[in-house]
Amino acid sequence: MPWLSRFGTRLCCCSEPTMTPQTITLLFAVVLGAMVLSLALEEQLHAKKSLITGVFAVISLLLAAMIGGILPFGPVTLPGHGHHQVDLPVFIPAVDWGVITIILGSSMFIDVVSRSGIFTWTAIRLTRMSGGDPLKLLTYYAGLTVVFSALLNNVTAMIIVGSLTAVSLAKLGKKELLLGFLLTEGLLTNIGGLLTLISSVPNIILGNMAGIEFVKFFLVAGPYTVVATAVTIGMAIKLFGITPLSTGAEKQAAAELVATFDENDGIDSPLFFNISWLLLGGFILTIATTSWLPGVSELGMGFVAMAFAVIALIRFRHDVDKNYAALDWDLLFFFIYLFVVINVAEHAGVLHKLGDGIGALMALGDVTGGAALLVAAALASAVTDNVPLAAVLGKILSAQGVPTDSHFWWACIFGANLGGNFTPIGSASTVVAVSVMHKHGLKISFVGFVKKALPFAVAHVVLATGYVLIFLR
Amino acid sequence: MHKLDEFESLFRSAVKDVFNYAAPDLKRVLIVSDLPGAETEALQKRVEHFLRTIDESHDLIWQAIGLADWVSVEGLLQKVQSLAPDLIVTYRHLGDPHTDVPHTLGSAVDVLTQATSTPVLLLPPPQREDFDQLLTGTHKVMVVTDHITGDDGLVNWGVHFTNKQGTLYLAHVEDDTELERYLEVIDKLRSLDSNAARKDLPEKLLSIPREYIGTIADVLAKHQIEETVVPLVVLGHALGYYKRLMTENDIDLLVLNTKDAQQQAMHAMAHALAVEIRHAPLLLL
Repeated sequence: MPWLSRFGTRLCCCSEPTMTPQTITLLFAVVLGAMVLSLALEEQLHAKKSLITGVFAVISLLLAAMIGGILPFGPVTLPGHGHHQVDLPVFIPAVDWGVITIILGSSMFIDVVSRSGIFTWTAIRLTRMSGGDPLKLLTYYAGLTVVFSALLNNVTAMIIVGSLTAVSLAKLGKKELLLGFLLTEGLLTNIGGLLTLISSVPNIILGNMAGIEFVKFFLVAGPYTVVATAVTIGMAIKLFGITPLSTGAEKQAAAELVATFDENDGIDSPLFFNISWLLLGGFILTIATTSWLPGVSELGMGFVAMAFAVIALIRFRHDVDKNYAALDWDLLFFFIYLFVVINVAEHAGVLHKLGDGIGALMALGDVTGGAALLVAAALASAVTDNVPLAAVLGKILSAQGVPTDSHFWWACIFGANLGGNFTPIGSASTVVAVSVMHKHGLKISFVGFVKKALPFAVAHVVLATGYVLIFLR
Repeated sequence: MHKLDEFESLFRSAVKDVFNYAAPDLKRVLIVSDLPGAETEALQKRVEHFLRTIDESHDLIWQAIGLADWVSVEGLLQKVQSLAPDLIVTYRHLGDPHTDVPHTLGSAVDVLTQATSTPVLLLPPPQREDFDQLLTGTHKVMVVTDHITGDDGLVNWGVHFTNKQGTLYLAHVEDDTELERYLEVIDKLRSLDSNAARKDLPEKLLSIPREYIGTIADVLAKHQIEETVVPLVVLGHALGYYKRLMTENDIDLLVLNTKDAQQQAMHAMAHALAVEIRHAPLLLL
């Protein structure tokens, strides 16, 4: 996103952190900290993320405007010949619209395409292929979670696989396995979320800031994802006592039960179903090759996502408003307000101060520093939202001029994604996993979740640390 | 968690109820009459002929209770219970002096249908002039219910009482008045989409039984049963629709559930059907 990078650079240049009095920096550090804390307590506050960040965006802007000298008010100079200037409210260029369009476009595209039934068809097909055997079912659902998390987003993946798990285990009379299945799937959404550049928001933010291309990201994250998935499945089998069916009668009974699933039930239009496969393939291919496609490379991945969303919407041309209404506006406004808060904090010198702390970690050296950064990012991500974390870390690493191929970027990417596996509030998908558990009468406390998830989360972080230090340093 | 509900609904919808074929546990048939011995025997012969399809496949043991065997309804009940039949065959107004009284089945039949859990094959009174014509065979059998999906037991009784190569009508009527009442409530709820409910609810209510009935023919074919299965799934007024179907299709036997899970007494629709459809034999389960 060269356009946005230029904006970012321009705005950064306008504010000189060293010129900001310490008290002002401290004030905005408190605002940023309060927002992060409020996001961590989202459930207790009974407030949506977008509202929390919205309130703090309003407070930040008002404070900055009243104090004066912090924000770069005035016309914005557009890139290109003539240096054309436009009047924009100060909070408009504060937002990373490249990230927003990727999230908006891909959410809309995936939502429309999912209405064709391709994802549910795949999920049910795998259920039937398992023959109702719990071990095969866990393996298939685990793989499905990882792939869906990579292609869709981790929340949608968890919703699809989690709801199917609840229905299929109930049908098989194996509800006692539900907790183990859901927990494993919840954890795997964050593993799958590592697979591609657009699989999770931290990837989009950090990947874009670092300038990592889609294919490069996939090639680096892929091997780790495969190994971490296999380890997670193995641990789940052991810890949750998931065993295969042993007798022929058991196998036949289970196979008959899963045979009652009809994968074609959710397909309203076979034509749209087939077209959706092509669209999905085209979307992945185009996203993967965006940086190499003439013209498209200039427009960026946000354009690709939006363009595919528009093409897919042709199927529902008479009622596109319903598709717009189905978008996760809470998530979108959360990001928009978040970028505003972080932008103000950046101009107030807060990120510069935080950067000193990160710099101290990196100064520990390639090995210790990389490991410390990964673990610190994971721990921070465990208790609060990984999106502001990624945004702050990204800004700090960019400001410190950390090169694209540095393993510090990967330490942040792995840490921000994997930290979500430590607690039930660590990521949106684990929140969904717990919601599915509660919906089906499985009571699990915060501590109960941590106890069950801890061995997995530790294994994931240890594996990631080893991987980053051995292969990416 | 709107999306979660959406996907759970989708997956629940993908799980289809499939018909499971199983022969009803039927061995001992008891004829209960208030006729003298010879007439009871004649009645038994008539019923054996009527149920010849089942007799061939189940090798039935026939027993009969006639005029001399019981004096009171309580005594009859005790006698029936001691014989423990799998099927009771009797007729309307058993033990009543008047056989042409509408709106009732007679006190003895009421007790037999409500105080025992044994299925009752209820015939028209033998005094009817057309009695023999009404019991020629079970070539056309109609199963009626307001909830056929998953009710393998009801369907299996229908299958077994239908002649080889006969026609089994499976009628499922969703009560339109009741549905409208629910839709009117939905219209008043802000949390539910009225338009979606008006479009999707009737559609789903009918597609679920249609899909279930769709599996029956396949399962029967696998068991080399050559009956023709005719689905009759509609939204409407059950009693009027069943009466019309009886006439239009010249049905030989009507099969219906009569008991709710919560009670032994015959439920309202079963009782209404039993008293309104007076000319046809009814298998009351």
